[in-house]
Parts: sequence; structure tokens; C-alpha cells
Amino acid sequence: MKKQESRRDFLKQVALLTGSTVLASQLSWLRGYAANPSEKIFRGDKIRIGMIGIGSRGYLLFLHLKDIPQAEIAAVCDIYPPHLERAIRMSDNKAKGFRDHRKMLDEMKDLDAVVIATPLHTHATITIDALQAGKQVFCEKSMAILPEDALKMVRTALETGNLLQIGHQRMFNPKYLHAFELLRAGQIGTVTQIRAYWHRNSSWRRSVPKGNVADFADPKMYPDMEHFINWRLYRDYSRGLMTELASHQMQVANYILGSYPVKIMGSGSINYWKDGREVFDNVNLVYTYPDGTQTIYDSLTSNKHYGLEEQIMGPKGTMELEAGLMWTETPPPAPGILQLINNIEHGLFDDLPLGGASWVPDTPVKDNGIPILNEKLEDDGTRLEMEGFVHAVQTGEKYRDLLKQGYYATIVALLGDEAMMTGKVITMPEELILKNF
Amino acid sequence: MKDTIITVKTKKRELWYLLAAFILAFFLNILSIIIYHTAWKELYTQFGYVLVLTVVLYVVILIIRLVIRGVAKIFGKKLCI
Repeated sequence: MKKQESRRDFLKQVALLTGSTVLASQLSWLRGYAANPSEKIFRGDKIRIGMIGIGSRGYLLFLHLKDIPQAEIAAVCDIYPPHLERAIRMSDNKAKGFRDHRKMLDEMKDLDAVVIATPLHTHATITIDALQAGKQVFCEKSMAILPEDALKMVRTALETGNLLQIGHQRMFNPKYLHAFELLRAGQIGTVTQIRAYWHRNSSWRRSVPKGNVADFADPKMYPDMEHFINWRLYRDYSRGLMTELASHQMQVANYILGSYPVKIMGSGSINYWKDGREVFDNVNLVYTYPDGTQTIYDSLTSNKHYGLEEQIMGPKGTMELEAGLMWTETPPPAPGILQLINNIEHGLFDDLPLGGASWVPDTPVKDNGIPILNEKLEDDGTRLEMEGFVHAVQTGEKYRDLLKQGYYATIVALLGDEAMMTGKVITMPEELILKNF
Repeated sequence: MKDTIITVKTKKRELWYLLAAFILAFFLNILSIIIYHTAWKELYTQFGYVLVLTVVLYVVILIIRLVIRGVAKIFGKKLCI
């Protein structure tokens, strides 16, 4: 039953996607759906996939792929045995297990593609190895821990001619795509500012199982189990909030503004979770784009009241993409008869002011907003993202526009981290700009 | 407790008052559309408010009538309003 519901939900999403005709001309992956407005976007042949990294995110991707008839998970790879065993079990023991991705690439020559969902610091090496082995690659965001590694990944994809898709599922989320279409149509006018935030109230720390790290990984890479399990908290493996969360929202900001920031400033600190972590527990940044438009970003881990949101503002209105709502700056007036009754009521019962107000406070407008999309969808785009990947592997699509999005999202996340670490205003380095892309 | 008889004349009179209240409410809707430059479709989209206003106006008229009738009774005059 759940599977049927999932399929129905997927087909509903595909139907919604095919309505995005303007975007279909711009986004290569969407063309596949627009040209085939049914579930028959795939060829008959199954593609053989090797999954590298089957932890929390990898396992979710695994479940989505398992549900796609055209995908066969032929191999799974993880250095952590409990994850590896779970994945083999979930594949009905059909997938061959590996603990080293190089061995998997050597032994499984017939793999068409690999899906990488490992810790950030390993993305570049594994991706480059897989691309050079002739595989089509899906790699979770962010691309790499160093800008130059991200650039190497892009260059390798171009040199080998293979697909490199980066996991930014908002580009596959119908709610976001409809919002992009409305923005293109000028619904809120020229975008003059974006505010994005991601607030959580949790340490992000996982409980560390007992054991010797040497049994799982190279001890030179991870000094102990704490670093191995909680890699997101240490700078050798991650850039914390910037690479794990901000890159998603900066990708959206870059896409909407049609560019990448040229100037970045920010400040971050560890002001709450003083537990030995090395990455900031709160970050605050200002990204300036070539036309002077700014994206103001912040993320924290000590309060979740405001949750996460991308607020897009223009002279004619506002959009909140996570909430899926928009507001106009000039809402339609209340019906005349209500205005009349209201004015009579004020005339009768209001106090007579002694002097007129010299200013009116700019308090927020209380308005429930208009839904961007009337449909309520369960998937955040991850399922469609996996469908899109399988489709691309089958058809030979390269999704270079998505790669460009993934690249700049990574770069601005990393430069944001650099701005906070150095306390300097960072300008986009010329050598990191993709030319002739 | 004795039976209350509402005569046809009384019923007709109350219906006329109700009709008058409705016409006044409808007219106020037209007036507000003109004053506040809103859409003419509000003639039917806001019909619910017109009905509510009709009832309110009828009650207001009723109260006024009862007051007038009370005052008239004090002065010993019989009014049929």
C-alpha cells in the first residue's frame, strides 16, 4: 500500500513537473520529463548501480533507488560494517558488499553508475576515481572540502565526458520549480534581497559506539571513533553548517539570482555547544552578487523556533520557498461593503485623536499568504532526483547545468567558511570561476 | 399563558420592513463599491454580507420602532408602526 502511495505521489509530481514549460527549456533534466509526460521516461534496460556510503543519507537514497524498477543496486560499499550489512540485507542479499571503493570499481567493471554519500572529505577522491573508471556519478552535496578539489571534480567530469550530478534535491522539488517559474514571470518583480536561514536545536552529535577505529578505517585519517562517527563536527572532514546545510540554500539563491556572489563577509563562532567541536555552531554571512543584490544567510544549532526558510523579496512581493507561500506587496482591497462597515464602526467608536500621528510604524503585514503550489507533496525532491539520475544514465544526459549549480553552491559555502575563519571580506577568486562551461 | 395571534396585516407590515432593510443593505453594497472602487462582481460575491446586513438593519429598525411605540404609549397615543 505504501509503495502504491509512493508511486502515485511520484506520478503526481511528474505531472506537476511537466507543467514547468519555461523551466524545461532551461533545465536539462526537466526536459526528460517534459518530453515524456508519463512514467515512461526510462528505457527498458536496467542500470547497474554501486552505492558508496550507506549511512543515514546514503540509506535514504538506497531506498529510493530500490523502488525504481530501472535501477539495480548491484554493489554496496561502506567502511562501517553495520551499515554495509544492513544494505546487503535490504538488497535481499543481491548486492555485493565492499569496504573499499577502489576494490569495488576494480571488481565490478559492469557497473554503469555509482552513488556517493560518504563524509564530505572523501567526496573528491571517490568521485574522481569513479569518473576515471568510466562510471556515471551521483555525489551528495557539498562537492568537496576544498574549492580546488571541487574544481578537479568538475574538470574530471568534463575530461571523461561522464555524468556528475550533485545532490541538490530542491532542483527536483515541484514546489521550488513552480516558485522559480513564478519568479521568472516577474511575480514579485526583480529579486532585491534573499534571506535564508536554517535553525536547529540539537548538538548534531551522534552517540559513539565502542570499538577500535582501526577496525573500520585508516587510523591516520580518523584518530578515534569520535572523529569517525562525528566527522561533521571536525574541520579535517567537514565545514559544518556551511557544507552540510548552507550549500543547499545557497544553491537556491544562486539559481534565483542567476549568478554567484562576488563578495562574501561573515562571522561565526562556537557560543553554545562547547563540547570540543571544531566547526562553528552558528554562522552569519552576507553574500553580494554582481548587481549588488545580497543574500543574507544564518544558521544556528541552539534554537529551532524559526526552522529553515528561504525568503525571496522583490518590490512586488515576497516568497517563502520552504513554506511554499507568497505574498504581494499590494494585496487586493477588502470588499467594499466590509470597508464601509469598518469605517462606520471606527467613526462611531474610535477615540478622537488629539493630534495626527507623525509616522506610521512599519510593522509586519499580517497575511496568511497564497500557496505557491496547491498540491501537498510528501517528497522533498530526493525521489525525483534519483529518478532523474537513472534517466540520465540511461539516456546519456550530462546535466551540466546541475553540475554548475552544485559547483558554485559548494564554492560559496567554502568561501563563506573562509570569510568567517579569516575575518576578511572574500572576493570570488578568478581561478575558481568556471570558464567556457 | 394565552395564544398570541399575529394578524396578516402585521405579517405584511414586517415583511415590508424586511424588504426595506434588504433594499437599504443592497444599496449600501452598491454605494461601497462606488466609494471604494472595488469590483462590481461584489454585487453577488458579497451577497452573504448583504443578507447579514439586512438582518442587522431590520433589528435596528425594530428597536427604533419599539422606542417610538413606547414613547407614544407614554403620551397616550396609539401608533401602528
